[in-house]
Amino acid sequence: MSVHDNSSESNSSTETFGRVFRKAPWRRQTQLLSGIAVVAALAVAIGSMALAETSRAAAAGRDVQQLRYAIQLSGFENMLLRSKIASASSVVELEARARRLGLVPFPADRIFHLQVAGFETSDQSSENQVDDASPDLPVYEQTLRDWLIERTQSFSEKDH
Amino acid sequence: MSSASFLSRFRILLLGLSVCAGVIMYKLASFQFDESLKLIAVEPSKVEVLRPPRGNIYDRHGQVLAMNTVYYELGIDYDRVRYRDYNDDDVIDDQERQSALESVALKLARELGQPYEQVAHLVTEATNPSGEPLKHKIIISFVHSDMREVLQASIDDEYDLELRCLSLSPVLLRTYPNGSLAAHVLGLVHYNQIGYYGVEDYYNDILSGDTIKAVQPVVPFDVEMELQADLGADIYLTLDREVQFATEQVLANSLTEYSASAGTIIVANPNTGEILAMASMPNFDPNDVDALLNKPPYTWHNPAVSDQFEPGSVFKVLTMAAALQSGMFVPQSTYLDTGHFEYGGILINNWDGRAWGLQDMTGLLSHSLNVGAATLSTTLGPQQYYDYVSAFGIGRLTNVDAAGEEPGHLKRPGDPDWHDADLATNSFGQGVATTSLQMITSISAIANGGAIMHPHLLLEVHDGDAIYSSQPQIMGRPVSAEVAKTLADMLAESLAQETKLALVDGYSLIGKTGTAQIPMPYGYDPERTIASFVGWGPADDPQFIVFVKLDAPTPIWGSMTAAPTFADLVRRLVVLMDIPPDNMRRLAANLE
Repeated sequence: MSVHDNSSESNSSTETFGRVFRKAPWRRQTQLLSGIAVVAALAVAIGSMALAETSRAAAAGRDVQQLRYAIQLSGFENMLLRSKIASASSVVELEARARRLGLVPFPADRIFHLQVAGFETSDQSSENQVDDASPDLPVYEQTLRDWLIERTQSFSEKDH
Repeated sequence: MSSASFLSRFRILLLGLSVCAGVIMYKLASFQFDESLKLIAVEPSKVEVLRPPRGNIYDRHGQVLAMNTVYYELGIDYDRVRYRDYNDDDVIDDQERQSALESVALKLARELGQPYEQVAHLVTEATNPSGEPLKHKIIISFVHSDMREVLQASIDDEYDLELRCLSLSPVLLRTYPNGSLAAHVLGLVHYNQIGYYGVEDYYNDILSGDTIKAVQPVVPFDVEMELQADLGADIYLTLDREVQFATEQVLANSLTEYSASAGTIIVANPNTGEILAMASMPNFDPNDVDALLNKPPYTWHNPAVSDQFEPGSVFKVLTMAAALQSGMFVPQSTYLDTGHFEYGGILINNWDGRAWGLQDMTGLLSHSLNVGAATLSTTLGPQQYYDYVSAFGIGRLTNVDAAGEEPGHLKRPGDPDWHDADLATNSFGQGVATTSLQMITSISAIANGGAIMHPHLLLEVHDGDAIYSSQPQIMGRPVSAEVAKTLADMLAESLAQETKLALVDGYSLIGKTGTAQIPMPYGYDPERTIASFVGWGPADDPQFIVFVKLDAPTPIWGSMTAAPTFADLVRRLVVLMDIPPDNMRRLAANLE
């Protein structure tokens, strides 16, 4: 039976690596540099991600600011157009235009009134429209619970 | 792997990492030169006052009476003044700076079409009154939108960067598209967006919304949820723009025709208290705030609610109502008019000094007899008479929704300035002060079956999706419906005798004239009067009530000036309000 000493083999390989490493000091530098490079790579990666995200957030923020400004400008533009419409349709402007066209206020004594049976004025017809529009809903005077109780009672009375 | 191969791969890795690092550095550096981010270093956040646009004012049919428009404020940032093709960061000396500002002024004067000297003075004066240098200065406060487009194009010109120091900021300005129409009712809004006088003042809280102050970050990362100021609500008034316009035209014509110095006309619906028109002249254009600032403040107030005057004979309507309501008099009651009446140590005469003999109550009204009115009030006695007059709201605010209302003045027994003679003189509207609105409101009780409706200007408030409507409210019931009907019939009969100038063909109208002397520090003005008329129609179904007041007209009588003014207005009102003549309405009623 042979006995294999693993510990002595392991020790010898460690010694071999150590000896080799000691014999080639540049490897230690390379390893150190590799470590730094890995850390730098990680830092660059994380930094790039952070930078990308923050710049994207900043860009989005700026877009939001610009859009808000655009909304504000649109609001002002809207207001401006409304005021132009209001000026164009002002009573002063309308009267001036009417006079330019040779029109004069219509005198009461030149109005000929005619009674037409069944004719409704615009006010009356709009009132009727409102009435017509209201749906003819059935009148419920019971809650669902009351209705159930009533039905149950009517059934039980029939059973008796 | 050989060491040479490993080293070459390692170099590639380092190169890659260097490129990445370079990109990151570039990105970081690019922020430093970003123009839009330069402000951050100076001002990471700023306090902004968010003032919402003021709500609009409309008439009852949705026609705009007051709204906002946009103007632009032209300013100059002295820190951004750029000399020729220098960069923004380049330091310039005083001479270069002055030269740059003069160049800006020259270009700006060309764009604005204004003299160079005028613009140069505004641009180059870069210190405040105490001599400290300014960073920013407003050159022109209100640049029109058309001019703004021209200026903005010049500022944004990529080949000429000299005007980059200029900036245009929007500012809201109140505008009244109809000019002076209903100016006294609407009031005005100053540049600070606060309403003064009229509805603008009374409903300032509703119209202006809530102004908020907020710290707004300049840094885009910190952009937060948008802060919304509570917007001002829109207001719909009971005014009818067309009726208001017609009323103002009629009033203007009357002032010219009768050489009156001022005047007021109110048109209202006696059934609801809604004011359809309220016109006073001379008036003003609320758009021209600068011009208004040079006028005395009383120019802006609303004479219809603020000016107090002795009403004269229109007050006899209230005296007669009190007499009938007391039960001590009926239309057929008579008295002997001797032309003079002595009471409380003074002698009262009729307007013409004549004795009219035996008169009934209708005769008293149709001849507008002071002696008769004094007989009624003195018979009722001070307690009863003043209780009735107070019930009509005389001497108290109507609480109309317009700023600056005055209560008038009604002296009562026990007041230090009351004398026995006042009981007699008050009966025909002397020694008592009222406003035009008080008179139309009190007399509207006769047109509305004895009930006084609360006068109001507000029809609806539109606050976002919510709509609040005002409802007619009874302010008081000084007389019964029977007394109101009786008195209305008496007035209809007396009007036909008193003045035909107030009548309109085809329409039954009711009314009373008034001619009041103008009190002076020592007695009454011997020449000038206040002519007035109150009337309503149609008699069987009152749709409108009108009060006309003309100051110092020629001729001096209300029956010859205010009464025809009323008729002129009614002729236009019946068209605008779609009121057919009496015969047509009766025919329609019969058909129904």
